[in-house]
Amino acid sequence: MRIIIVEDDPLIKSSLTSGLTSLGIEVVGSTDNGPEAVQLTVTHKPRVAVLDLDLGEGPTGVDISWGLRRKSEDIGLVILSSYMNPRLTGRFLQELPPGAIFLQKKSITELSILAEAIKHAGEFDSSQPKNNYPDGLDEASKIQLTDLEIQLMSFISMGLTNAEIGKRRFITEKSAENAIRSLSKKLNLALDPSLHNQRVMISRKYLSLIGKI
Amino acid sequence: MIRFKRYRLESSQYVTGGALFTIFWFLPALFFDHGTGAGFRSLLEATGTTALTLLAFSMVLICEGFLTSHLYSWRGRDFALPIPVLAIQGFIAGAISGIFAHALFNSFESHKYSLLTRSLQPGILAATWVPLLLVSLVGLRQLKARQAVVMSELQSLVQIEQTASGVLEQIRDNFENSIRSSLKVTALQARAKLTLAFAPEGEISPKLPDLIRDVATSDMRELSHAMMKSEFQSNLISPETETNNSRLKRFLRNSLNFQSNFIGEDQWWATVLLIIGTILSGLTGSISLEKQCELLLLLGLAMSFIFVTFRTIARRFLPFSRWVFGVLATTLCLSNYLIITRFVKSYQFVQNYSSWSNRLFLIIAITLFCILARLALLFFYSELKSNYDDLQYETLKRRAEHDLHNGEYVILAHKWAKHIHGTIQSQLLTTAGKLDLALEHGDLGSFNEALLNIKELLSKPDEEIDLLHRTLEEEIEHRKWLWVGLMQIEGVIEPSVRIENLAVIKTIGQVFEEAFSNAYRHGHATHVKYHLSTKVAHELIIKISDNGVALKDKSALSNGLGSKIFAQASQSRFKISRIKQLGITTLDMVIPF
Repeated sequence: MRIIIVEDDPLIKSSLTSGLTSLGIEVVGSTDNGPEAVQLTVTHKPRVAVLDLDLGEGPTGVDISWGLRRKSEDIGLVILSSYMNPRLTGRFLQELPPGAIFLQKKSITELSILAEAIKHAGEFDSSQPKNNYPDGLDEASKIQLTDLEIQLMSFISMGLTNAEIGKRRFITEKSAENAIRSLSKKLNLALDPSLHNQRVMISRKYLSLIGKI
Repeated sequence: MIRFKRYRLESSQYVTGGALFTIFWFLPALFFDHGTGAGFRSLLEATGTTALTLLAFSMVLICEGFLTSHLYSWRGRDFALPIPVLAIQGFIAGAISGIFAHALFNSFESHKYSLLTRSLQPGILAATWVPLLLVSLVGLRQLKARQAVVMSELQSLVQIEQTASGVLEQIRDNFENSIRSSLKVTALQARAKLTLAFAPEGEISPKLPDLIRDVATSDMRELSHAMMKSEFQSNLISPETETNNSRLKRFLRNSLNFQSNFIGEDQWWATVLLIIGTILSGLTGSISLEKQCELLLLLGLAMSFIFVTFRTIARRFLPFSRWVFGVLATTLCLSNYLIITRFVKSYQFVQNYSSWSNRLFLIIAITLFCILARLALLFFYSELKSNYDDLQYETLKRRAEHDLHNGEYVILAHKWAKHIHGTIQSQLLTTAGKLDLALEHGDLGSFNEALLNIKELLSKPDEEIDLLHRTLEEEIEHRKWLWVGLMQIEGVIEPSVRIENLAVIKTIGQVFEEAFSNAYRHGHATHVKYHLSTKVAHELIIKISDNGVALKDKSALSNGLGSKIFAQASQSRFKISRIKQLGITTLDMVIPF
């Protein structure tokens, strides 16, 4: 099977290339950016594209996957991320293209898991875009957080004050405080003020959602 | 013994002086000779005789100039004369032209004055006017020469500045390259130091975190501190600028002295003698010497008093100087008229052959004429002064630019110091912490990942700072490039758009990033067009259109993060509109810079 890899971390990129090649998957090209990914798709017509979700500034892996689907409507897509859910990046992502498989990097304990996902993505048929492959969106989907709440969690975990959060989100300090309070309720954090610090608990929740703890 | 100031003359200035005297005094002399109530024939005769008299005067003056200059040249001395000599030369020329005029009038049998009157009257007039004209011409020549010096000085300064700007650019690049090289060398040395501690693949080196900490807190710290201090200084040379400045200062000082001499010392004799001499010339030969002296004294005292009074008033009421001047001119005219009339009446003086019948007109005309002549001179000198002011302004501006260039180096060095301190040192210390954690948990994967990051950082220590150096074109090109293949993006940046402020460029980059991502993610656009222009200074007009679909949730237009970024960048001067029929969404924005 011919695939391309879109990953900005050179170590992971080279590891994936050599690992997948050893499993009999033909890696026809690898890159760290969108324009080259599109070019590789047009030139080599791969069956599957394996994309990292976060590629730095510019389009995300999800954005590029939509672009690749426009160029090749039957291309299979596997999106990798350290996050449990793409939305947790806080970058207001689009929905995943039909049939795209989302994998959390942490879940790839063996390369065979990725190879399996690639194989499954390679069977994608645009006329029957239904996808039965289990993805890693479970927990975050259950929580039903809004984009603002996800961003708020990321800001809190960065140790920002209410004033700084307000400045970055273009809201007042008071609004930031209220938003944090309602977020705490939504996350079902049973807080005892004498025992727990609200911000630390939110940070812990966020870090667990993005797979850091 | 009184030592008179000598004025360096040229024989050609006598030609100009004679011509100017003829032009200035033709009409007043004509009126004086023609008088009122005379017929047309008398006017024609007076025109001819006045022209011929003035021509004779000019010829005599020119001859005097040539003879004197040759005499000085023959004696091997500079042709520089004091005012009394110039007055004598003027008197001789005036007197000879008067004798000539007497002969002319006699030929028409309509002479009014005796030979003595005819010779003394223009003699005294010319004795006051010739020195003034010649000295003014000398002053104007010097003024022209100094203006030429000023202009060449200014041009050379501009040329130096233009040449220097290229050189400065080069020095700036060299300066930054030296900083960059220092950082690269330090990073290379650090990498070499760390390589010694790199464990074979598959093993964790326990020494590495401490070594990295050492690189961060010692090598990199020293480098950033050196940049914050004065160890990295520009090679700008200032002595040459100082030489230029001191030359300029001397030039300015001399020119100011020259002006103050002329105005302070010459103003009195120029104005007072002009008026007294001119008026007196009309009386010469008609009244006795004692009475002439009495009149002269009276007029002199009155004019001195008026000038002193008005000078004091003018200094106190500077904003109303025009009005003060108007009152001064009127007062002088009236004073002259009253004194002369009273003097004539008290002595019951009757002059049959003079034009006293139109005395009021003559006195006022001559007084005003003298004042205007003086003003013309002052005008030239004020011109010179403003030129000096311009030059001084230009010099100050250049000096400020010079300081700015030096300041730029300090800012540049600080920027790099900040990069080393804030980015490199922080990353090194964070990685050391990560390595410690990996060591603790025996996590080889994380250890290798952190190690790879360190290697990359030390191999390209200047990579991040280069990203900050994008021009507007580069910034937009970069943002555009990221979306190549996903959307077709094209646009124009008008040549008039020139933005150098890095913060503004970064903001514009964010705006473009947001506009492109919105068009792609929310509008599913395939084509984006942009246009950057300026109509008003310091205002950038951005227009970005795409063929995306309309947003279902219209509240996102005003509440979305993108809208807030646009509002902050443009101080709320932006508009997102959609033409349904064409399916085009347009973002119009004005960014102040």
